[in-house]
Amino acid sequence: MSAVVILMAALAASRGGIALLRQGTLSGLQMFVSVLPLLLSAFALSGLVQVLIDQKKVFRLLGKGSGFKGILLAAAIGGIIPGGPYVYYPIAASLAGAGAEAPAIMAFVVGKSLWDVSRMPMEVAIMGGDIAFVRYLATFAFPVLIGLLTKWLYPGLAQQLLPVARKEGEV
Amino acid sequence: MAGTVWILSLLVVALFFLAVKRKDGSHRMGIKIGASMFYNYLPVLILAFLAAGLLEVVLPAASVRYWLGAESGWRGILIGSGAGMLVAAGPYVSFPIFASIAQSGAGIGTVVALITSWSVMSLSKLPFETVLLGTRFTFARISLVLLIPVVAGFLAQILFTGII
Repeated sequence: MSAVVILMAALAASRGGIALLRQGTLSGLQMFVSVLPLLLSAFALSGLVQVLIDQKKVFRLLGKGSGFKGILLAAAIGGIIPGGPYVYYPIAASLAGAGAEAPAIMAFVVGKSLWDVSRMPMEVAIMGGDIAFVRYLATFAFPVLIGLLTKWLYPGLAQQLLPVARKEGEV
Repeated sequence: MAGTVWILSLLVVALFFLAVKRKDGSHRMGIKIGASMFYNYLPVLILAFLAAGLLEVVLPAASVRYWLGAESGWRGILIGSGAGMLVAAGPYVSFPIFASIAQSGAGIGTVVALITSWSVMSLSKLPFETVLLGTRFTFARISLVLLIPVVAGFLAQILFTGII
């Protein structure tokens, strides 16, 4: 991640000098400060979820062998959870930690991207009802489809998920 | 944004009370786990926010308007599918830009491809995803969602051109 930030900083500096670099850095820090309450509640939520959740149940509902139902359920949970990537990725990580398999996590993330219920009022208000309706309709099947494709095309992803996340977290 | 804070805090309070009712210290344990997760991820999260902020100025969201004035048809769908992921901003910034593109005469397929590309491919979520789920997951996901905007754009175009 540090390498990405350095690359981005170099790009910003080459585009608009120190002024743009400062603007980008400030905007990132400002974003961080303004979503801090959200971040704190997201992490509190994923901590509580980890304690409350019965690991066996998560494994049964979203783990290996949960199949189509698990994918559908994960996509629906993704669609319902409000907030930006700093909210739903911690929750995805805690689901993975509790034993949810990769296809379910994938369906969760894509479900959040495409079904996002909390974004719907804004999308309808700004884009107009008909465009929003067509957009939802044209993308409706994908969260489940992508979950199934993950199962078929990346059968080994499940075991790699958490160790990779932990390793990156330490860097 | 304010609504989201409320919903999340309500969820936290509800789960906290559920944990208290267990009478086995679960509530303290849950907050402790959340706090240590937050503490562990804090450095990379700050870096992720810096990357997101810099991305925003390197790729000003409004510049897609220049690419997609009044595009429509197959060409519009392809350009929209590529351009959406470059909009590295949240819904409050992005939707008004998409709406202005729709109003300037872009086709329904173009607009749907653009919104869909931003939804599934936006570069701004990558810093958080790679930090929390790992780069392998991100690569797998990108390989799978890459074609969604094009397919969705085509579907919208075929089914709804002339109707909307």
